[in-house]
Parts: sequence; structure tokens; C-alpha cells
Amino acid sequence: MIRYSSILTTLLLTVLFMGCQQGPSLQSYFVQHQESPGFIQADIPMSALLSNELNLAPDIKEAWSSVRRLNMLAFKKNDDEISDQEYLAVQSILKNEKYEELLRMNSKAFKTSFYTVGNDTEIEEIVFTISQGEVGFLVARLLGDNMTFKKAAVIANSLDQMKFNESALEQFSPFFK
Amino acid sequence: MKTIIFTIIGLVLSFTLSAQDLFSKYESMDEVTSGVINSKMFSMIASMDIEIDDPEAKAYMDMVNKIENIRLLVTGNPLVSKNLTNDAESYVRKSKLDELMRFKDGEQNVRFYVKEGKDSDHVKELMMLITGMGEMLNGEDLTINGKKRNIETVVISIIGDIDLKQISKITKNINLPGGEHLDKAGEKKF
Repeated sequence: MIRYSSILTTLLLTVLFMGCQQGPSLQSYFVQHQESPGFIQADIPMSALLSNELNLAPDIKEAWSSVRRLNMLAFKKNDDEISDQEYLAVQSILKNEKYEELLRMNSKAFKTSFYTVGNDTEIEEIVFTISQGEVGFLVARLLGDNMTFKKAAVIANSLDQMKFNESALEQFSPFFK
Repeated sequence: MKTIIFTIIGLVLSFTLSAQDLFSKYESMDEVTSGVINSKMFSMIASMDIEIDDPEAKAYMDMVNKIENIRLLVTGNPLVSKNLTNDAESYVRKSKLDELMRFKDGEQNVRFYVKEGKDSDHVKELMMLITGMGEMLNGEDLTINGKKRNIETVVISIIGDIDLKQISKITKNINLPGGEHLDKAGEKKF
């Protein structure tokens, strides 16, 4: 009898465990790697990222306020093999149909891709990846709060007039050259 | 009997060779610069400057919403150029694309292929193949991201429900190489 119950418990636990494991997500990849050597991570609320929020046009301000936070993970290349391997791991997570690919570009100098998560009316998340030969790779997630395609378009269009709090992003500067 | 079956399977497979295969073969090569833009991106571009009252803007939006994707391959490497041109040509033959037009200027050769769509203005696929660009760019230093680039062969494929009369508007918007030739595709009646 004891045997049966232990088998049953094992089965139950397995089912529960499998239920939680619906394939790896970027979130779990971020959590697993934030402490790993070579990785740098930042989770910045939008209020701490923008420094000229007050002087923006109302529509731009509204668009940016639909972004809750910026979550970034980067690997500074110290080992070619690990970098390639980890970049592939990220790419394979992004193959999940939950991530809709907007575009990707590959060249000798860099590889970049751009994804969204959500439905036609609301974007939950915008994902941007860039991998550069000598530097390493970076994955940025913009987590939305009632973000729409229109707002995302305004955000993309207004990037050049935004002033970002540089100290928050300093450690990632090699990736934005 | 087996041979026949295999031949038939082989034939069927060779007919279904998609643009996807052509692009996935080349896109990750070091010597190739590649780009893919999917439909979702176009809906985002379309939502950028919306003036629905403007009939032209509306036509543009209708157009981009029907595009599934645009794929682009560019290479300057002579060997890759040769293989890419061959593969693109065999893709054109296998998927039975019709030649829409071609221009030749010295070494430079621009060809357009289309897959027939619902009427004479619409196509399901538009493919542009430019070879021999090296000569045209000779003497010019083309720098992209601070590095000298050499462009020899360009392949662009657009898939969706494409209105040839509207296509030049998109290329103006996203600045594809060879976009000026696509302008001509819209003018051509066929």
C-alpha cells in the first residue's frame, strides 16, 4: 500500500512539474542567467529610465507610459563558444510561437531581431536582441502595460528625442555603439 | 515500383521548394547580409503615420496589411554570389515564376519575377534578382556601419497579395536597395 501511494505521489509531482514547464520562457532564462559569470542584467522601471518625461508631447508621453519596465540581459563575450551557445539558446526560446517575429537582420558585423508578444489589441512585451561579433549579445525586453501597436510605433518614432538616464544603462554601453 | 514512388516524391518535393528554403540556406552565412520583415512589422509601420482621411495613406495601409513578408539577401563574395544566383534561378524555375521584366546595363542585370495573383495588377510573389552590381559600384566606397562593403548580388522576395501599382510606396518607406527598379514594376502593364 505504501508503495502505491509513493508511486502516486511521484506521478502527481511529475504532472505538476510538467504543468509548470511549458517550455522555457525568456523570463526563466533571465532568472537562470542573471547571476552567471559574464552576464549582466538590469531591471529598470520606466520612471527611472527617462529623464525628460515632463517635457514631452502628450501623445509621446502617453505612449511611453504604456511601458512598465525595461528588462535587459547581456553577455559580455569572454568565450566564443559560450557566447554562441547562449545566443542560440535565446534564439530557440524565441522560436516559440508566443513570440511573433517582426524582423530580423544578419550580417557579418551583427545579428539583430525584433519580436512582440501579445495579441492584435495589446502588446505585452517587445523583445529586441542584438549579437555583435566581438562584444557579445544583448536581449532587451520592454514590458508593457496596455501597450498597443500604435503606441509602440510612437515609441519607436520618438526614440531620438528621448533623454535616458545614462547611469542606469552605463554597463550596457558597449552594445549601443 | 519503389523507384517510381521515390521519383514522384522527389518531384513533389522539388516543386514545393519555398522561398523560405532559399533564404534559410543563405541568411546565416558570414558573407551574406540578410533581412526578413514580417507582416506584423508592416502593420506597425502602417500605424505610425495614420491619416485615414488621406486616400493615398489608406491605399498604402491596405497594401501593407496584405504583405506576409519581405526577404532580402545581399552578398559581395564572388563564390556565394554565383551559388546564390544559381539557386535563385532554379527557385524561379521550380516555383514557376514568370519573368515580369529585365534590364541589363553592362554587367549589371536586374530581373523581376512574379507569381500570378488574383488579377493582372496583383501578384502572390514578387522576386527581384540583381547581379553584377560590383561594376556599378566600382570606384565608390560603400561603407555600412563603418566597414567597407562590397555588393555583388541582391535577392529580394516579397510574398503576400501584392498590388504592383502600390509596391513602390513600400520600397520608398523602408529603403531597400534596388527600390528604384521596383518603381518601374508598378508602371509596367502586363
